[in-house]
Amino acid sequence: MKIPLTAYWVVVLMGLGCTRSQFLNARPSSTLVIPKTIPELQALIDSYYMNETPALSETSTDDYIITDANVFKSLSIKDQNTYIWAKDIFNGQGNDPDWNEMYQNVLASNVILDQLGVVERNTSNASDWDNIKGAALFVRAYQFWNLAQVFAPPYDSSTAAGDLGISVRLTSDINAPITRASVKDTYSQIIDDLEVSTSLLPSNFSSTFRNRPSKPAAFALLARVFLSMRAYAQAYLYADSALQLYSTLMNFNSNTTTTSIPFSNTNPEVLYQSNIIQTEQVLYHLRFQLPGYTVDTNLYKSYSPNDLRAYFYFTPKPTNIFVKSGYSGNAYIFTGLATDEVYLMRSESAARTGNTAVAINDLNTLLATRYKTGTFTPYVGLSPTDLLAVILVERRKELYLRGMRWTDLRRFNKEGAGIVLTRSLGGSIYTLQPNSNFYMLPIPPDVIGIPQNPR
Amino acid sequence: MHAQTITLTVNNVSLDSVFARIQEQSPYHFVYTSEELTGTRKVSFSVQKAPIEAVLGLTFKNQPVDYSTEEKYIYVRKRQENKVENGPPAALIEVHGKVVDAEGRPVPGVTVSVKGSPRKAATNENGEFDLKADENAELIFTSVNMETSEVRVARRTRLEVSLRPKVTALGGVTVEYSSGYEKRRTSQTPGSVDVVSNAVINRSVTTDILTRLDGVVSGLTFTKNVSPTSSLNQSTFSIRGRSTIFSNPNPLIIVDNFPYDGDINNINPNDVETISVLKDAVTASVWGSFSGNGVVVITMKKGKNNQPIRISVNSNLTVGQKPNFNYGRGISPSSYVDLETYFYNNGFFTSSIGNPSTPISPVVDILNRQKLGVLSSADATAQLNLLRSHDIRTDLAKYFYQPSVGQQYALNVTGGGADDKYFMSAGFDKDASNLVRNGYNRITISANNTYSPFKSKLELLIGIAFTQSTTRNNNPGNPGTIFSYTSLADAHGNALPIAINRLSYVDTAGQGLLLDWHDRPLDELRGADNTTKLTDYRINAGIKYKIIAGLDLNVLYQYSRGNSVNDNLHSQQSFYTRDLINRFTQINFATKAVTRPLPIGGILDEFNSGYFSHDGRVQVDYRHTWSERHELNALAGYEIRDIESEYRGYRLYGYDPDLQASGLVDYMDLFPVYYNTAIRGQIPSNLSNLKTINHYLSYFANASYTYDRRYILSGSVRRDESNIFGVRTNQKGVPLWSLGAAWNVSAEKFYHFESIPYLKIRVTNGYNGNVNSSVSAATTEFIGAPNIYGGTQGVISSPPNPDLRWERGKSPINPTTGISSFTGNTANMRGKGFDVTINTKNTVGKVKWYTTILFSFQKDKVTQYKATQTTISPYLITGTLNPLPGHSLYSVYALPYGGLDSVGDPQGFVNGKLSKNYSAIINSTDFSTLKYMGPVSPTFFGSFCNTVAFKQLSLSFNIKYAFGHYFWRPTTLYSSVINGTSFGAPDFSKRWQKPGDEKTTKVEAMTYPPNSAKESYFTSTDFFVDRGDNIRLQDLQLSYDLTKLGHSRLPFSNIRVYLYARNLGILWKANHDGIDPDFIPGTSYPLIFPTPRSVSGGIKVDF
Repeated sequence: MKIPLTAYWVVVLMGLGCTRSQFLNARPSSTLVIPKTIPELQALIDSYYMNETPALSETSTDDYIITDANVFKSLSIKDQNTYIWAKDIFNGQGNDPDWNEMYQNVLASNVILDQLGVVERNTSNASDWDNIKGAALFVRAYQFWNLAQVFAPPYDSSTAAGDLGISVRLTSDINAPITRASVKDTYSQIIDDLEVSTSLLPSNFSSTFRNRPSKPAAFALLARVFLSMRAYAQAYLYADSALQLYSTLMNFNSNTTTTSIPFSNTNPEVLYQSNIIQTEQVLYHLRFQLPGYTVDTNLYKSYSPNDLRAYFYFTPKPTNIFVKSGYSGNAYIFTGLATDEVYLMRSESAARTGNTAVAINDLNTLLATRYKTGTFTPYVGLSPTDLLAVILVERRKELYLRGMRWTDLRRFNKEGAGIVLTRSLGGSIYTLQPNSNFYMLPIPPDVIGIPQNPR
Repeated sequence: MHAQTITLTVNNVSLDSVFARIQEQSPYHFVYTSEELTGTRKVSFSVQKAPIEAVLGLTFKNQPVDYSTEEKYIYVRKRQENKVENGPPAALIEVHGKVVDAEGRPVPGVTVSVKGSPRKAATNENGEFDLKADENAELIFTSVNMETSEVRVARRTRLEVSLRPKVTALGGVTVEYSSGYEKRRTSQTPGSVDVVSNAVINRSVTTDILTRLDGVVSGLTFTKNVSPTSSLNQSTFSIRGRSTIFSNPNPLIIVDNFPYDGDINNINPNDVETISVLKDAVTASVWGSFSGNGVVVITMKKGKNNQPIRISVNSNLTVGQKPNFNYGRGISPSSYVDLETYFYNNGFFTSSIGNPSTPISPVVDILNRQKLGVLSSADATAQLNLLRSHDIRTDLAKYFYQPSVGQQYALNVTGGGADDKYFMSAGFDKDASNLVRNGYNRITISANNTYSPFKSKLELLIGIAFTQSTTRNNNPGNPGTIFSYTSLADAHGNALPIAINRLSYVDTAGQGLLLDWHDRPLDELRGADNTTKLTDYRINAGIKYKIIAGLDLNVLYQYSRGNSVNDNLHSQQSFYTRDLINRFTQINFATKAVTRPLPIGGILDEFNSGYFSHDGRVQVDYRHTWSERHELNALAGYEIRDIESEYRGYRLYGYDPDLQASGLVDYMDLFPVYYNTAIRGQIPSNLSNLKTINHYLSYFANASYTYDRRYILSGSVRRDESNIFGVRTNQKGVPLWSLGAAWNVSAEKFYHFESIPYLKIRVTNGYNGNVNSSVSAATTEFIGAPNIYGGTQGVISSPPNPDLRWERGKSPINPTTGISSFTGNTANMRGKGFDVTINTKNTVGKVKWYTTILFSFQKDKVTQYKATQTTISPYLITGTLNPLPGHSLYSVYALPYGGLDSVGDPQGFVNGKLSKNYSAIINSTDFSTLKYMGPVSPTFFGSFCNTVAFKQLSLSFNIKYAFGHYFWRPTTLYSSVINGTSFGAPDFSKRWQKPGDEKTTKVEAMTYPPNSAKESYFTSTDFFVDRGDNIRLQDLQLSYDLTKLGHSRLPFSNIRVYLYARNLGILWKANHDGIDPDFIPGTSYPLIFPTPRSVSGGIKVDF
């Protein structure tokens, strides 16, 4: 065997000019990499999937009304069932993006966190290294929180330790067992991840890469998480921290009201970009202003004629009121973090914790940018109860179709608001009772091995 | 001697040519060496029905050679003085001989024994043997596949003996095969291999080579119903069924020595000598991890030593019918109008009508205008009736399809001297497809030369093959998603617009400031300019050195390079271009200012793909025969392969083909879309680029040992390494092995079954792998296009799983892990089957009748699958791969059907009771409710080929059959029919329409709204499962040969005129729904037709 052995080396070394190991380590495809460098890990964060959030929490809300039973019948079974709060949503259909895509993003975050174990942190890459780690923790926490809004019961400190939350996956090992953590553990993990991320993420967010997490965004998200837990003192502190770093509001008077897309993708209020899964059918109809849908007329009428949001958010037609989409300039439904929401969070949590002065000031600051110049009369001297009521009305009006309604309904009903949602369709009436089990959606049928939600 | 008569006219023809002509007309065979013919003179004579002795007398008259006959052999030898008969015992002399077949190829493995003596020898790979024999001894040549013959030594020390195969029918036994590493005899391997002879390859007329294997190799299946876009991972042809679930299902194709990396259509069938099909582990495993699906070795033509120049010209013309537009019709246009009316009346279209830019069908438009009062009821009915009367298939048949015409011209030049041989060829093919304006042109040029100096101790080989082709792909075969009553042209053939956009909208949109926004498919076809130009070449070099007797060193190298450029020019006039420009146009109606982010002009899409490959091999061959009973063949070597491909695509806007100018556009910004300003979009850039590298290193050895021609033991080991992604170098390889043993029962002395003259029993075992280097064992990330902020996007394409190496399967996984399908070792499959090839010669006499029967049985079974679904519904969906242990990988599962109830709803079963709880039925977790119907692929199949020859006239026809498989008959899915994405099926007319119909029909009623669970159940019932069994007349060939021997004034040695008809049609089928199971009608575009019949006429001239 001596002859071929020699000849082999001749062929390999002379002919191709490399060693066996080099030859066998050639990258088989230019599109494939083993993520080992900061830019390769950053690319995972920059995937548009990472900035998508579930649709079920929006399609279950009263943000939209289907006026035409025929349009309803033409929708997918999942959209139909969701709309009428049916017991079963999926009709046996698995591969649901509301679940799969969120966990796909969790996996990507875990891959980043695991791969950072092999990327040395040194003086030259320290800030990038910290940034990517913070971003991965942020995204994982964000996806966990979004999943918890859909598939776990609302946070209730009295029952959270026993309530079933979501599957909190902290490793990229796909062989790790799949379990459901308690609601308490779910939220603890979210908060822990976010708190760590705030120490790693940069204080300034990039106005170019609004899809990337930043420290103000992480504070804003912490505020949102604590608000959803009805932990108003912490919500206040984090909202305040976020606004300390970034508090720019956009004056609606500087944009024209007649354009079909009044916001741009450089909307200065956006702290962190995310939107509902782009492929969702019913929301596609809604944002493309297809007939058969309308916005609740009472909600539309509640905007004052001087309130520019009425023009920025809606296109009224004789029979229907259409939505204008795209708080962040694109046509998808924005669910990310923005300063207007942070002002409202600080205002509400201040009001709920007795800090009326901050509450009223934040409310007035925000609304001054929403009304036609010179038409807004700042609120003064409201009683705490009235102030909270005004803040909540403005929250509804400001954060319309921003993916927050479902979480708010769950929270308000826990606060005792007793909101009953009603749908009327083709002669049938459907209702969703406060604090009902139907406020958590069933887990898709192909997710096996973990307990299903009671409905 | 046989009372055979000869009719022959020769004029100044060399002796060997005369021998050949006599051989053709008689059972005799000439035994001679070219040495003996030196100094012979050319002969001329003409005889009519003369006895053979007379003809031989004329042939050998005044020649320096004489002849003697022994049975059917005519021995030629130099004239010499008669020896004294009773002289002293003759001395033993050393005889060196060579045994060749009728085509001059060496026949190894022939036993050469001395009559009345125990001395024996066997021929080696080169057909050579050495034997000591009495100088007057008679040598007996016996072989499994060749007719036995006896030759007198007659004091010659060098002999060349030509043997005839035992059966010379179509598909007859051609016993030498090539594995790509070596040439072997089928008798020397315990494995299973089929060799397709040159005669069989040339029997059919096609542009490509693979099609010519259809129906001529047992165990080889061609699956016609494979959709290239399907996720079923099916191969269009497979050897012995299926051996992989998720990896590459295609057999490996070798051209001469190396895997073929180019497009297989680049191979001109006229340049192919033989094709060897290696079917089992023992024969295929020499290719290691590439061979899991079997190996097809294409051996290209080479020259022959000591042969004067031969020129062969072949030309033919093939004309194919238009497809049968009556096949697989959907709902009739009139029924379609009714169906849409029914859905309209139920309000289905309210939403689309309300949105002015959503397309609505002509019927809906008419009904809507009637409702709005714009159209009177009478006018509406008249317009609808006009639609009812027209079928789009009429227009498609008239404007989109045509009879196909194929022309083929091939020139071969071959020859050789004592130490060199050469082959050159040129070919030109020009095909006009069934689709108007589509076609294919190909030029192939090849040459190879072998030079063997130093008494053949060294052999140098060099070859080059060049292909250039142009494919015109202007006709997609369909005008897109439109309705069955659509007219594509008016009475004068002028293109008509279709309702892909709402006509009333595009008529008025933009107040004349937009470009014409109508889509006229016929104009699109007429204006399309989509061509792919391919250039491909291959250079081979090889050195073979005989180190010592039996030991050869081979060094082979091949370089291939190919490039294909697809240019698709959407001209300014095309709808594609006008639509895209309009889509992004913004108009200020006050100032009439038009802003166009896209420049006016054409759009050129160019897609380049190129590859190059280096293949190198160093190999040592060893052959040794000793004690006349022991025979050893072994080889070992290294191989290195490097295949690199690059793909690049780009687009030019505002393209002017004359000036070669184009415009700049802004790909980054979002622009509002004209028809719905709520939408903003980016201008599509069509930029793409990809580079792939495949590196392989292989180490291989195999050996076979034969004892006494009866017992064969063979084994191989191989290790393949590749640049598989994400594992350490020392884990990049896979060791593979095979072992086989065979017992040649018919060679035993006790064996006396005349009816089965050849019987071999074999046992083989092996471990074959499969290559799938597109997936990785480590965490891998797929890098994609930038996001809207300009950041490069990456997604996890493969999760961390370090256990993964070469063998893989893919399975669904709990999506909570972050991936919804996973590639790992999850499944086991087992295949079993057997192939039988029977060649018979049915008559003796002037009319010769040969039959070749191919019969294959094959069944694959998934034995273990870790990812079985929880409910039965995934198994009811066609188009997804869901293996169920215990059944074939591709199986038809259905639900029992309980017929219709009194309102026309289908009824299934829940807990054995009739039920309409469709959701419960299709989502049942009880797998016993799932009815296994059978496999999708035939379990019994083969062909029956008959050849009848009378003198120079030969007629053959091949009948193919396939049994034991099942398919889904298409039906009407209202939900997709109403969206215009399906034509439905003709069973619409048999649907339940009024109470009582349930007694006569099983087709559900049309109901509103479409209930997806109901449709899922109904279309999954066993009512729609048909048996696939069928018998078809594959082809028919008629040929007439005219030889120079019969007509000495002809300027050529042989001329063959042939007629070949293909796809003649189905003779019998099990289903009664008019469906050809090889071409299951689709319910949407592209239309599916049985391959139309074609007839070829051709002429082949050998000079």
